[in-house]
Amino acid sequence: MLALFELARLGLSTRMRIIIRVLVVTFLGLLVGIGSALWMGGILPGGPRAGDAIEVDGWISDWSIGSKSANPYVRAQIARRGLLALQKEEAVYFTKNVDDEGQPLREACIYRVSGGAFPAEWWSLTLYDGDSRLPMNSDDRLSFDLTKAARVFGGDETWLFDVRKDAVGDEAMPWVSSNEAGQFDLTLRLYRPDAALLTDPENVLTPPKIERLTCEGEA
Amino acid sequence: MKWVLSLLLFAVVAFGSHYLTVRMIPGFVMSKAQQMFAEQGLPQYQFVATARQTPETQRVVRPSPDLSYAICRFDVQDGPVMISAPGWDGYGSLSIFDDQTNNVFVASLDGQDAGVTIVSELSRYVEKPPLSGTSELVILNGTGLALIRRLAPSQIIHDEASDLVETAVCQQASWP
Repeated sequence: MLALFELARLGLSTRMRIIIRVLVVTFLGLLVGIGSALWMGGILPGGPRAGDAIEVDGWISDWSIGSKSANPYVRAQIARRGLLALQKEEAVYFTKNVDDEGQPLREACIYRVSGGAFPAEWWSLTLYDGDSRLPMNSDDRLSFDLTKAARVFGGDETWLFDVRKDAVGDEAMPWVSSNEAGQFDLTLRLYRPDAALLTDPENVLTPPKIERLTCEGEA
Repeated sequence: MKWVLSLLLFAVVAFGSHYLTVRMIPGFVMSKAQQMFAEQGLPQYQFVATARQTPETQRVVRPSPDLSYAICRFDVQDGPVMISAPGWDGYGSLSIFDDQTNNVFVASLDGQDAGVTIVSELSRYVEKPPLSGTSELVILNGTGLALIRRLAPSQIIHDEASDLVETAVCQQASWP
């Protein structure tokens, strides 16, 4: 850019120098303006998060998703992260990508996930890989939900399951497969949440526990 | 002086392009989604059930493998649209998204049918009552997506939910 200014200064008419200067400044303005918008709008990675963030014991949710926010940055990020997501009165989503000790969830480890009843009509826990996709395995063990919990644990409201990359282990224990997931997260979906959860999530929700049992390479 | 003017021009262009770009992101994201659905063969004015969400069939980020989905594309610039879906024994919902990704309508399908009439903001129908079989009149611009979700945590239940798409309605309509 400086070279262009220097060329303009040395050999071009005043009018040409002005035109080149305007073009260069306009280009730089567009670069900065559009680039910063894509970054802040969530299109480019690493931008700041806008919205109504909720955190309960490390489980993170954004209740702006599905809403018609007036904030243009929130609207842009919702479009990017929560396309076709429901309003919070219909469903809320909590995600956690670390275990109870704060270590990243990874395929090389076995975890025990446990919990109780949730203040919602129905719930599910689904495993997603680092790209927010269902992991590319054929285990047909993608999630655990209220229906499975009721079937396995009967009327007892407490439940548990393992997250592991293969079927080795207690055959009676329900499990969700982390095979081909690499680093992953768990997403808790609460459908038709109780009104109390929406007004006071920190005190109403008791989120699942994620206990790391063992990892490959550990004694 | 010329540096001051240059700086001023830079600030105006940067601020203006930033503002416009942020405003355009939701519309851009939704138009890309509409384009993707069209390229996958999803017709307008017809609900189509998607395959059960698996690692092989997933098309959007974070799909729920526990739900069955049916989608209909529509454009209210062509005229009023009537959308309805039959109830379901379990969690279910009918939701409408506008061309800016906003969730402008949602209704429960738990044991009850749901329906909505959609008209263009610029049309003469904005004062009309909802069409028969629908409970609400929703006003929006341009294209939209209707999405039916039903709780279907097994392949058998998913197939039952998918069969219901035959009785769901997504069509251009008019008042008698």
